[in-house]
Amino acid sequence: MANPVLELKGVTKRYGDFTAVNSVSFVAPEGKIVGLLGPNGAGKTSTLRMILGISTPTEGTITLFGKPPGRAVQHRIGYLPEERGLYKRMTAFETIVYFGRLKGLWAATARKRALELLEELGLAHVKDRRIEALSKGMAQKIQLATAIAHAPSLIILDEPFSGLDPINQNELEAAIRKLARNGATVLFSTHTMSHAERLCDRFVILVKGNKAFDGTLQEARAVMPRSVKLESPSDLSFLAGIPGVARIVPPHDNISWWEVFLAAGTDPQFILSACFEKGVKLTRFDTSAPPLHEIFVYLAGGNAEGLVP
Amino acid sequence: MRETWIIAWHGFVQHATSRPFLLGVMLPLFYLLLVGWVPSASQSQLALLGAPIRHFAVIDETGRMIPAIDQAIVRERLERGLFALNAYAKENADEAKLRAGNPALATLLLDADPVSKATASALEATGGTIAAFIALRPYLKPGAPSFNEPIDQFIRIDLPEELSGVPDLASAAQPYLSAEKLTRGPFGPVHLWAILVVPTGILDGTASASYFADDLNRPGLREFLRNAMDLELRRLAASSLAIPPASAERIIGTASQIRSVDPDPEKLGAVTGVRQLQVLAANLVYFMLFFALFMTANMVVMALVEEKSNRVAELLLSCVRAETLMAGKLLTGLFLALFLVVVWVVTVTAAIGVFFPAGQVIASELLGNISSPAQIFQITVFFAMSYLTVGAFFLAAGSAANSISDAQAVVAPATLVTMPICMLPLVVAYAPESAFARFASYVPFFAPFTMMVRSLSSPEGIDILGSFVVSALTLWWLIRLVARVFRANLLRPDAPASFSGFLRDLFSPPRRI
Repeated sequence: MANPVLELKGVTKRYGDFTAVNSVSFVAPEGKIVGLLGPNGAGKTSTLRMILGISTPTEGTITLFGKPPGRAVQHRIGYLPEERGLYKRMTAFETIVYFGRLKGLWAATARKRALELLEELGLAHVKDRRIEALSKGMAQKIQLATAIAHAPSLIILDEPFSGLDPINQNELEAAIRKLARNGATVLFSTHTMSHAERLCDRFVILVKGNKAFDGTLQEARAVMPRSVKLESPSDLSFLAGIPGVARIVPPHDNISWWEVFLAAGTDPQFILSACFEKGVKLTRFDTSAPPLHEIFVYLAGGNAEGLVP
Repeated sequence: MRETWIIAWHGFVQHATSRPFLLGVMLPLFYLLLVGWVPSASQSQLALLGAPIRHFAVIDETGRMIPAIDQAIVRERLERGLFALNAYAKENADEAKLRAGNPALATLLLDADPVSKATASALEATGGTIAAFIALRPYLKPGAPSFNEPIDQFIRIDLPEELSGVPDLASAAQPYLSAEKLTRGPFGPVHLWAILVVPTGILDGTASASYFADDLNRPGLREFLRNAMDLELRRLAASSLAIPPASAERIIGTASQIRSVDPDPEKLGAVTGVRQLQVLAANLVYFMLFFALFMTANMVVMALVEEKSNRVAELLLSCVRAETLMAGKLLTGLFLALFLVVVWVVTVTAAIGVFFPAGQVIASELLGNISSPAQIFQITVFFAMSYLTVGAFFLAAGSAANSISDAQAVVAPATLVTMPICMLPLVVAYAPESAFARFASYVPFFAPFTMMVRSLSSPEGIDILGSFVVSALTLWWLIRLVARVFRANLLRPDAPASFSGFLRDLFSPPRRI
């Protein structure tokens, strides 16, 4: 693993009697995109605020670039908060310059950088327009520009896709990939699994403040028992008695297929052979890897409410 | 520190270009133009102050009265100079040294009746007011301020040319007497307060003089002119009775003396005529600073509430520490308040000059009380400390609010709590060197406000230093205290939106966020 830019060790955050984050540990390697996943109330924003030094952990330690959060590392971090907020009366250009300067840029550098970013994000034509006159998508891009104006090494994005239309979501995904290609480490929280699945090199899954998983998508898939999805007009319950099948789940609710979970080391082709021998006609035989959403549901147990596939 | 300045400057620009602030900036000017306060106030205030400058013209058909009136003006200047020098000597002279070194001068300035014509004659015999001041100088206390000779109360000017020989003088003079038109004075355009017409018949009692003025309720000038003419008529009468001129002057100059005693000169209440202008100046300056302070503190608090509710605060906290943010906000308010005061002074002074020339007398007199750069610097320093004291308190209270209505619930009681601190110095304005004023200069929270008012007089250096130290220490303690609350409240959605909740937070360890 590359050098960790960010490391959390046993971090806990309590608000009175309520534990928002419970002994969470993970690392974000340099140049990687790390997703912090979880349904609403999982502790994602609390974790991000502690990383930013806005709030302090009740227990545990956080290190950024080998140092604790604070002034020494503040200017190496860019932050896009979950609930967007900008000064409505400021222009797009002034906004980027102001936050760039607060992040340590000199005025001339901040102005130059603001112009570059507006050009890159396709917003050069609204440079002198007030924030209140911009569309939501444009304002979101300006907000992203304020987070990256000072070319931070670690970019923290809290629910960056919320409220965006599909076109703007795709543009934001492209922007995030570009940031990572340029060497920045990106840590973003989301409860939308499809974005995370497309973007992230690593995932940290939080459920009710506890870490449920930390690793790559491949590692996450390995955690889940292998299964095969079958569709047929016939009854497939006979598969339950075949060696190598751990259990089967028949069609239910809106699910029109049988899901057959295999014991470790069982080849899915074995199921196909069994059906063939039995003379059962199959209309679907799907051995593809489960999507992240399913992995999350599996890991979260009954705590995946509010999660978006 | 760099971030603090960036936040402060950004806030200043944002507010200074906002409509509410621009309205606040222009408000005094609007009031001024709307109600025409200055022209009417100037007359009444000048009368109240007992030191009006009234320009008048005389049409003298006798050829005797103008010299008599000019002589009376010189005499009046002497008498007012005596009164002022008397008050100055009592306040600034080393009495024991003066009595030992120059007993005659001590008797003249410390014991004699300062409003008696006899005393004025004695002063005239010593060479006049300035000569007496020069003689007094060796006996002044160390650090005594310089003596300013009172300005002339009545000034005779030439009749405007267009009024010469007009058949209906009253109608023709009306625009001048009501200050709609100005005439030429010794140093520029002035308001012609009155015209006196003296017919020849006045000498034998067959005719009376006519006094034309827009305001007959203030008889000061009229009585002054009457006395001057009476004196001249008495001289004429003495001459007709073959009384030698020297004897006549002796009879006319005979005057009594009254010794005045104030049993408790330190007690608040009646103030001397000399002090009234200073009191007025102190009150005006104080109210101006007071309104600037509360107006801008409220603006900064409301902006903070907005930042908190729309989550800009969170973004700012990812860039800077909460303490830096608070310091930036405080400086924003201070810059706005100072800017507001400067704009108010400039616009109102300019407006008076352009629209109400008659009010220039008051404006220049008031500004004369804060003329030295050192005094302006001193006032600015104590104003800044006063602002930071109140502003820090307001900002911490405002940080507890999550909406504008929350903010009102917190800030309104905070204003009431701070009101006595801000109002007490008004009492100090009446006696800035009293024991009470000196005591208040050392009381935490009250110190900067008190010294801000006292700066308009000449407080002792030790008081200035002591007050500065007390103010600085109070400020240091207060900012440390409220910064904790500010930090804790800023990201707390369940922060107590009440003043009592804020006070509880202030004096109990706040929860860490």
